Amino acid sequence: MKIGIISFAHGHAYSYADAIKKHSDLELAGVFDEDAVRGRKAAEAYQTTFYESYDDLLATDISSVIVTSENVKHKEHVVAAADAKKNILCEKPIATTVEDAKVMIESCRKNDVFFQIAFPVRYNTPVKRAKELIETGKLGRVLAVKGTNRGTNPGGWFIDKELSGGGAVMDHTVHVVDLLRWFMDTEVTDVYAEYDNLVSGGKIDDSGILTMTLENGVFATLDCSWSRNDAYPTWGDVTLEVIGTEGTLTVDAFDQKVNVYSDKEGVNWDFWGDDMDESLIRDFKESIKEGRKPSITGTDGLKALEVALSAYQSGEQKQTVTNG
Amino acid sequence: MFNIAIIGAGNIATMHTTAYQKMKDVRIKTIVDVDVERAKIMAENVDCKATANIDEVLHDPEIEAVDICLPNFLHLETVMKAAEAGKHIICEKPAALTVEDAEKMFDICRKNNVVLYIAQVCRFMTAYQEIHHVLEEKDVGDPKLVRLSRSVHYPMLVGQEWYKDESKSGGLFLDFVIHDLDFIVWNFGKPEIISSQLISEEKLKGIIINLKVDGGPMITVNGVWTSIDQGGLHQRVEIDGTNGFVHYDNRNELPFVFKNTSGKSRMLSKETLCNDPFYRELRHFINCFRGTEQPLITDKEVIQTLETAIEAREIAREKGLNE
Repeated sequence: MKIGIISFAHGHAYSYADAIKKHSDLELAGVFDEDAVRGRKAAEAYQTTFYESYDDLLATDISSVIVTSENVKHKEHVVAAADAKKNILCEKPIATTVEDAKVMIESCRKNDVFFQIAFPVRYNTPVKRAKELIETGKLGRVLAVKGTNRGTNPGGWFIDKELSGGGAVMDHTVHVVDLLRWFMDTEVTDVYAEYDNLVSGGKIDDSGILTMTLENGVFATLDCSWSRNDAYPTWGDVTLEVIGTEGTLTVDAFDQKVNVYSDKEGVNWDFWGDDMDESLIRDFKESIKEGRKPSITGTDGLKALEVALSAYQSGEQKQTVTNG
Repeated sequence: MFNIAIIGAGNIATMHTTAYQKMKDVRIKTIVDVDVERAKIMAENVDCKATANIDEVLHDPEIEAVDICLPNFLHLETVMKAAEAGKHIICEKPAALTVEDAEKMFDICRKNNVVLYIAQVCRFMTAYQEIHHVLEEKDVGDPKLVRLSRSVHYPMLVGQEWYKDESKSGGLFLDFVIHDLDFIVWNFGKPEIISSQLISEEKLKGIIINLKVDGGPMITVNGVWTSIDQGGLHQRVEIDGTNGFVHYDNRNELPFVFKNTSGKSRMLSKETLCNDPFYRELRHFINCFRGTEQPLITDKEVIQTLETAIEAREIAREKGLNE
């Protein structure tokens, strides 16, 4: 199965490319990047062809495309790939506006192409166990969830609202919201958010706390801040505390680590658990080969985006807003 | 399809069958156990044949390899039989109870043109592989001081009585700290033993071995079998290098904790990996049988690991200090 990558703007492009290399039945057949220097470098590193335009890449015999461009460009790239009848894996957030997301979903529907959103945390093993535990009723009725998805300010285009659509709230709300929806098959109804630029200077939001009410009565809070500094031993975290009538569950998705204190490399937590990016790529491949529907749909991407946008609206209005 | 038979339907065989069942190109054809009822229970889960008679497997031309999950004292005779029947062999650690036996096993396999892989699973634990990588990259400079610790609840499930009998299990040295000794041989080469001491109470067995590697680090290995269930296997690695320190402690990791309202059952998920080390280990061995991968563990390393374990036990029994 031949796959192309559109843009290495998002760092996940590299981990997806690494994952493709691990599968003997997958081939990274070409890449495109608006930043030709970055694109050529990636093409060289992964021993594949660099294309000067995404149309050229899409005109080749690749069957599938991974879109890892700046958030605001997802729409242009996904629509082009859909028109070229390629299977698509699109990085989160799906887009920066509801309108764009809807155009993307419709375009893929119209062209009858496979369209999946990349929420890799669904493939994290402790997170998968959490879903099993909730679904089998071992926690009883879920009452509340406290989540964190903190990280390091990624800089670059992520802090340029014109390209990213927003800061930490845009970047990190969608992961945990996706997990809440996935765990409990429910939607977020109300959102209250406080956010600001508190840590890293500049203008864009780097700190945020969301309080959400869900359709099933659960309430949830989320710290989505880019609050980890450079000296912190890893990029960030995903943690969940789930309170149910029959028990409590805590998940620390990346707490399987070798602690390295190196004069050369500094302090690092080397994660040794299952590789979720690789599992995501495998699922993408197998779903296509077996003719299954995508595990994570465009609508899943849209619903998560809506919550991030509601959070911004709430922050502007200083009040709780109805989501969706 | 690669047909395999499992000999011995105990605890480790459960791990192995679960792993094989994930492999689309491998089929468990037969499970053998002297207690045929035990074999049947396992075979029912796997949907394969159960028998108490190993000859059924040895005479089955479809079966290309056997996976020996028997108590340690039975490894030698079973490997001999399987090799003479022309089967490739995976055998649980420790290879054997003496170095001579282990050498005999490798010899007979060579003679019969079959391969024998010893399942020293530490090599396939991703945490240990990560440490290996850190050492290779010299992220902590040259390793100088190494502390390896391992403890677990005394093996006393039904059918595990043989562990207590050193003439059958080889005791803590051969059955348990063999993993840490394998880690040493893998990363630093064959060590010399400086001292080795043993605590042997009815419900507590403990050992401390001090070692050094020529031109390499000084090493302490600490292994404990205790009557207290401490929530599963505890393993730790600490390495001081000339330019850094690397540390791993599986008990400090809490990726998943569930507590229920009865307050009694507290579950720390042990199944924290999809690609568990047993899967990775057995996948590797199958690929080696098929020639698509080269074995990560050499016969020589297996022998060196066993030699070190046996020597450490001898020293502990005699005087403690290796003079």
